Amino acid sequence: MSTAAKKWYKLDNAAKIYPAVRTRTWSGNFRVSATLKEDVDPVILQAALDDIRKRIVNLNLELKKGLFWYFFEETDRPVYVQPDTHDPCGRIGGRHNNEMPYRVCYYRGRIAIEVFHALADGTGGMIFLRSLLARYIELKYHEKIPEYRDIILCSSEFDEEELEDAFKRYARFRTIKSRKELHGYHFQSEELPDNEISVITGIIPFDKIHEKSKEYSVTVTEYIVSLMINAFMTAQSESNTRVERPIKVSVPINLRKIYSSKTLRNFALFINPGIEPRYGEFTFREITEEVHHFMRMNNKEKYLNAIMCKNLSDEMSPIVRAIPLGIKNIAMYIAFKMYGETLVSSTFSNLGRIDLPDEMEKYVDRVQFMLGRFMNGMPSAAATSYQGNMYITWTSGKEDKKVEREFFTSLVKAGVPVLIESNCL
Amino acid sequence: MSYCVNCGVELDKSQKECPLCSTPVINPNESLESDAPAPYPRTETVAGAMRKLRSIAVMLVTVILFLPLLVCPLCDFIITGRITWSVYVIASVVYAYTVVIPPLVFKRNILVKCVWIDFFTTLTFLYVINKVTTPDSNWFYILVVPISIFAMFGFHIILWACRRINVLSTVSLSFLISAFFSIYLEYILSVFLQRSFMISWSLLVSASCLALALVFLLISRMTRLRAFIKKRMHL
Repeated sequence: MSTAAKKWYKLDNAAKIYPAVRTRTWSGNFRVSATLKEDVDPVILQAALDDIRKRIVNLNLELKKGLFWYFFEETDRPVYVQPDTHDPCGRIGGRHNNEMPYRVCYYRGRIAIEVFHALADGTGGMIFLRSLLARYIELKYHEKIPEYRDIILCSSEFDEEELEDAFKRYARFRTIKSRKELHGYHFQSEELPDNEISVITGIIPFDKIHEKSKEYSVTVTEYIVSLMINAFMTAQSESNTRVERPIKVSVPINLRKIYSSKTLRNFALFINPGIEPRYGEFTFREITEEVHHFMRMNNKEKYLNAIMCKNLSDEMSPIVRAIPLGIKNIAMYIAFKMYGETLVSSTFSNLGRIDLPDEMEKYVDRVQFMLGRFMNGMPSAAATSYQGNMYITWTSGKEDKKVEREFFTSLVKAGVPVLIESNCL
Repeated sequence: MSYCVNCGVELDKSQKECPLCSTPVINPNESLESDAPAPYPRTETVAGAMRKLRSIAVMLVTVILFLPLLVCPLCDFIITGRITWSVYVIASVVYAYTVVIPPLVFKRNILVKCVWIDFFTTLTFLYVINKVTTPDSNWFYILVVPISIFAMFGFHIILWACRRINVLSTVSLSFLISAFFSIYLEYILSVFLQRSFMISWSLLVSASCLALALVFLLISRMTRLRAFIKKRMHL
């Protein structure tokens, strides 16, 4: 690709913070993976990756520095699939993966894509994975994969919308919503050294957890968020802190469902349901009610659009735009430290039910989603459901597993069986 | 299949202990399958690579500092027939080594451990310098020891405050410690210079520090004042 022909793209609104706060050993990443019934053939996987890169332009972008902002530029740099490591979601960028904002790993039957959040959100990442998986199955098993929701086939036509900054397209700028919020409780424990990550996956029968959430008249996401809040509440009450802080769990809302955008880049906003322990002790039912009503109140197009406008208005201010990138990076780092991860106690991202066409489903055993380690190491969770099982993966940078334990044991106590696997052997 | 007796969760066959509570897996009916496939490969981790990099840095620093430690006393001895100026080199190299190495070696509580090591090595280094350069003077005992002990004391109080109380109160406490430190320093200097103790320059320093300590304390205590400042000075 000649230099003159290289196309470049501005980072979307949500992406802008990630390169600025990236450190030498940490970057904000997530991971989506699928486990096949047979071991992965790396040669075929490489061929499949090369093929889908010809179709999905987002996978051919590398992050570059401008004078005022970072930007993505198209590249023909090769991306090589690599064996998986013991601690997933390590820093992306630098020599190890040729400055590309993602990496593709394999281990036994598992194919995983780890994505730097500046490139895409969880839904976008899952589309990359499903498309890669489709091409791999086509090449390995000579199956003809039909057109299917959220799968981009190599034979399909490129759609400009896949690269659009959907925030800018849909923000109305009629009103903006204040971002003012109290700082949330943070689980205190010794941190794992060197940005190590602990991964604990709970495999749960979906119908059981669904049944349980119905008992409380809430959705599965709301039920899990309530369980998380309950776990953090127990941790806070056992820590004997003088000042009790609100416990809030950040939940990303996939805006594609509201605006029907086809973008593969970031297009999600966060809402933070939670409880304020200073009002008194909350029973689990009360927590579920708080979460349920908060989600119903805030997960509305008008509110979300106002948040989107607030985020965009900061970015579009002429003063902010004129500040050189180096200074902007420092300011964004400070802002991230003050408001980024401090507002909430944890994050829960649920990609929901992953369905694949029959031609693919017979080869795929499991589809999983995992968040990378947060800068402050707070325990956070991500989930997918596939073929009747729900995979809830907790990632944490803390030594103490009190929150994860409280979460999974509450499920067991509620009569939901849990199978645990982890990278802590 | 094994269950954790503590948490009640079922455990993957590769787990030797429960990842949630570290209870070992003991299942008399099912011996642990040590070759059961682990969910994540047992490869070298990024953290492991970082540790390796640090151990290389430790080795490199050791070699670089070991050379003058070997060469200088040898040259000194060959030229003068005894150890003279090379004592400075030896003391400085050992000091540099003890300052540079601990941050590379420790994994946890790096700040506290390094400050304590630096405290002892600085004392030892200055003791050696005192004995070699001015054996008749007692500046090490009169100046260095009390100042270092006060500094360590202040450091631990501020560290405790950082963990226990809010930022504004910690800043206030730091100014308060600085105020006492300036008076204490002037007193120590007057003892060393064998003059009668009179508060002079430290009065200015401590008065400013006390004023600042009071301001920060008031801001931290008075919610309405804090809200007023926030309103008037917001960005």
